[in-house]
Amino acid sequence: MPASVSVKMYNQLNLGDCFLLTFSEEEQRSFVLIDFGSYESGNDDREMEIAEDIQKTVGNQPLTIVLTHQHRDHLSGFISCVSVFKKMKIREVWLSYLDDPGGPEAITMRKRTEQFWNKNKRIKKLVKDKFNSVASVRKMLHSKEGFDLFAEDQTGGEAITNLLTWSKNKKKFLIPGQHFDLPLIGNDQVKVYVLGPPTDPELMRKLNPGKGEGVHGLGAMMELMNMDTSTNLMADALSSLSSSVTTTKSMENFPFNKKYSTHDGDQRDLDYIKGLYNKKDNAWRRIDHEWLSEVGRVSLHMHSLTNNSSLVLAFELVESGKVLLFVGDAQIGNWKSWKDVSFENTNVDIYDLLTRTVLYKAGHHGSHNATLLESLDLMNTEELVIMVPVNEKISKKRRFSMLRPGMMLGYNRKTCGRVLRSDTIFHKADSTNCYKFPFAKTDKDFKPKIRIGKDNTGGHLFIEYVVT
Amino acid sequence: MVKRYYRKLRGYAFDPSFSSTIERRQTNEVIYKIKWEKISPGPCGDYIEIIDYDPTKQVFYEPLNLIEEYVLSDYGLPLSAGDPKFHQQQVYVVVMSIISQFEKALGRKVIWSRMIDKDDSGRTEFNHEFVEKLRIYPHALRQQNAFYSPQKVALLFGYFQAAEHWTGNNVPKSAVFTCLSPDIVAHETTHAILDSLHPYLRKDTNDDMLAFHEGFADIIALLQRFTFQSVVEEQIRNSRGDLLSPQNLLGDLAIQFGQAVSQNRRALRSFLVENDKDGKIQLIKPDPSKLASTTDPHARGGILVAAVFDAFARLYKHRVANLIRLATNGTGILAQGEIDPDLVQCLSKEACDIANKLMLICIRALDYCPPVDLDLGDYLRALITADVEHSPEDEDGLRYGLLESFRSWGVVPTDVNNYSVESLMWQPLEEYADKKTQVDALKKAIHYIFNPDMGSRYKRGYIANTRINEVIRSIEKILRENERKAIFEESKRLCAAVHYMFDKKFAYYVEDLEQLLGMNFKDISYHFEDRVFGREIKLRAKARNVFQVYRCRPFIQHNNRTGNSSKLLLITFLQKVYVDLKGSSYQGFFLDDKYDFRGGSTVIIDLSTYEIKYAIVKKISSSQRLKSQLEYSMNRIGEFENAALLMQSEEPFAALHIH
Repeated sequence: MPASVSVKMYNQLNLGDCFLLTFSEEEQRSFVLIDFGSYESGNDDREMEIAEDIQKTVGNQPLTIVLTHQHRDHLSGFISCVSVFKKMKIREVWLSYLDDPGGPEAITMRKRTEQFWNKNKRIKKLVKDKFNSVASVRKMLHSKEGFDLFAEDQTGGEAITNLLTWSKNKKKFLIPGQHFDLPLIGNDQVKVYVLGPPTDPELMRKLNPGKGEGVHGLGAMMELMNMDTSTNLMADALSSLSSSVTTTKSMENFPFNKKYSTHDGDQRDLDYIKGLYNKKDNAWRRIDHEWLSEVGRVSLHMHSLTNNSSLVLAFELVESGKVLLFVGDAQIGNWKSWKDVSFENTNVDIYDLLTRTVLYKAGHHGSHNATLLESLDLMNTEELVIMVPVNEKISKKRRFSMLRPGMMLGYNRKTCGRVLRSDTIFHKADSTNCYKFPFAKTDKDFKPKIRIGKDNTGGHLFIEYVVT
Repeated sequence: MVKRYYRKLRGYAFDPSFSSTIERRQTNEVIYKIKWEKISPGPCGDYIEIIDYDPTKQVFYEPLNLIEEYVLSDYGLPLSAGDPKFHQQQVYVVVMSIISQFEKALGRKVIWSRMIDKDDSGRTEFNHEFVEKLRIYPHALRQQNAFYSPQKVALLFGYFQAAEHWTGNNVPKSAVFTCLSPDIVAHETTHAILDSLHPYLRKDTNDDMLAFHEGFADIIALLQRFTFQSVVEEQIRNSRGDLLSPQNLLGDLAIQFGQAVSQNRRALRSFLVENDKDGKIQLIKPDPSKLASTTDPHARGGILVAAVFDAFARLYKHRVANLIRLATNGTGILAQGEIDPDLVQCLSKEACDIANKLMLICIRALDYCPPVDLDLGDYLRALITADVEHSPEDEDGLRYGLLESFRSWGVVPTDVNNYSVESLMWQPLEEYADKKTQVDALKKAIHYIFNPDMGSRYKRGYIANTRINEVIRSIEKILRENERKAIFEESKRLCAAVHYMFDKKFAYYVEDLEQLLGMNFKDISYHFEDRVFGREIKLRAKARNVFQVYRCRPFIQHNNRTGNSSKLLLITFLQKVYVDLKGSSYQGFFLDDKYDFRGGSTVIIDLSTYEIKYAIVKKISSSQRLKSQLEYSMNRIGEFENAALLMQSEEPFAALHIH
């Protein structure tokens, strides 16, 4: 019997990822849990329900846990469900090299990230205090909250500490290009390939010439530094505008020497310009608040930065040649780097893996910028299934660009309708969505490859799909 | 009294933050020659008003007063990155230079305006309003960004702090000003002028609309660099005349350009040169298949820039071959060491001449663009047509240079069956109209509307045109007038009169006459295949007998070479229909389940013969066009989600420029 795998996609009743993979080959089993979290806090009960199902499935056999990246919607379960996990046998934890708590670049990154969130909080407060009456600013702040919630008040540290405690510090920090046999199952049955996060070889070459050991993720570090500069600039400007904060000399002299801001002598020219700006007829041309958009931009930027640090894994069932692709929340930058990854001593590359993909875990809950269309085009197997962990309610409430028609159309086209969503079992062909979903129209269509797990209230707890 | 023609002012030729090296010290200071105009503090002239208000500090910087003695006496203020007044001077000279390039090329005034869709009560009301001056805020943002705001008819420039690391000529923590970079200022100014000419090109309806806006702005910014012969001479000296060697002029330019507009706009950097494995700069080989697989607007715009610059490189190589032969006794190999200063001069003159001609033709092509839904292939056709009009003999080989380079970058129109000048030029109406009777009818209508002999005098077969004097008077006044507001108002009147008459005439002569001009006043039905499940889709738009004469602009085109001058009239017809999406797979994605679909044409009429020289049509009844627009918009929906976060619901260019 060739190796097979069952994939359980859990329904958090919230936005978040949680996948339990059970690989089987003859009598052997290997369990891998990829991510476990909810976007909104206060979802502890549901998370417990899920954790218990995981425990029931795995029993007292060893479990490998993968954490793709440090966003709340991928890890909160590792904090809320300590009582369950600590009873289980966690054999090893897999993280990206960027999440290595002891790695020098990870330490710097973490320090910088923490700094960023602190400054970000301060800026938010300053903007709110001063400009909350402006509609466009208020909208921006609201939208910013939505983005920041993914990662603010970093819960990552605690989750990773928990994971390492449970695994008794057994861990792997994965780097693109690594490939190995999946443990606990016969050799050459299931292979794991690491594709992301990008290591930015070009930057490595430029900034670290000749040194033996590589410094990874420098691109991300530079971006963080740029964002730090930007938040500082905003903080300076905002605090000088607020009377309660004393300004420093460097703030006063940026961008110009202070003397240019204070005017003595003839005021006529200055009054002329002020008059033009303040003229009532010209109110539509004023620019009092446009600059605050930078406050929103840093959130967006930080968000994609973290998503691009996602660990990306491909699991290959060697005998059948089928590939499962789990991309975390990787965004375009991450995808683009895969073509430069080479797996030593194999004939495998990204094109090969993509063309053999039979199950794709949609990146970032199906957001438009989380799947590179060129890559999706390569996934051409007839049995391709796309799993989208998503929650329509939350996505709508926060106005995230998930479940967007363009992307969903693309998914459906590629799979002939075999798109599975975590928040709903059946896709109704109603007036707003007249595409037929030939695969998941009725209960019968699911068999025998799909199983629905019921929860305590009669809803569905998970959708399980089997690849043989 | 002595008449002044120019005001000469000092300024940077390159972004100072990338040129503070000892070799650049001399060439970076140049004298800009700006058309003389009456000027107030700001500077505020006829076309622009510079208001140096920094909202992040809530400070007004003192405005530059160009008529002050110490400023007037010595080419303006000395170069200084640390003095806001000099920043105002720098912005003033670059913006004004770009404006005059456009006026020179188009032979008419640049006029700002804005469209008001809604009045104060929120009621939809279309109004096209004159805006006297483009407003410029040199220090409006604290971010690595600068943009043109169509809503405010303003340019907003940001400044930021250099990052903490040492790359390039960067000084960590120093203030970097986007308004000091001539490339960025030229780029943004071009956005504003392009928008003033073609407001509908801002509507993002296909892969190429934003790409074109970006690419075109980069082309102008890049070619603008060749306006200073002293700068080009310096570059040619350093590169020993070899413009095409990537290590030298081209590479240098492109990299600087890339650095200056860094992060957000890498067009040139990524499409002209790349670093090879050893970190050496290499020319990127043109790849005709690249365009088809590229969807990002900047990348597509980058391909357009690459194609134009490639044409420049080819033309330069071709043009200087004889000079090099002369200088090398026919060997083509230059002696070691610095090249002869005379040769430097000759080569630079050629380079500047080509750049100048290319810029003119790139701008003139704008008059030959369709009014909506432009793609890069259309622009090539516009370029070729404009060039044939202005230089029928192609003495400079410009057309062939363009043809060659556009083909090698894969920018080819989809609707022509062979790649030659004759088929790429827009065709006269007769060539593609099915019914001869319609063409004749349209000609008759044009005759009727614009021929002064059709006045009160009764003529056989015609009804007297009672409004002819109005039309003639307007045309005459627009040609004569120098004041921009008067031209704008008169053009509006002309549009109204012409619209009135076409409206009457369309139905009068022969049925469906409007269809020749890309419009359709009856119910329209569209049929196409659904791309997901291969199902047939049928959509309808209710008859809408409403159209706009968006532009009606007479102009005289004098050709120095042939000695001919043509008196032309450019008319833009636009029609909008609402495609009903209810019940289709597009339901639920657009406001009220309606899609605003536009079609129309740009028509160029020879006023001496009343012949239609060109009609550049985008049919409103085209199913194919509707299909690709719908698919394009569906794919883009997600990208506007962040508008609130970036406070850009109303600012199309801000979003595009942010990294």
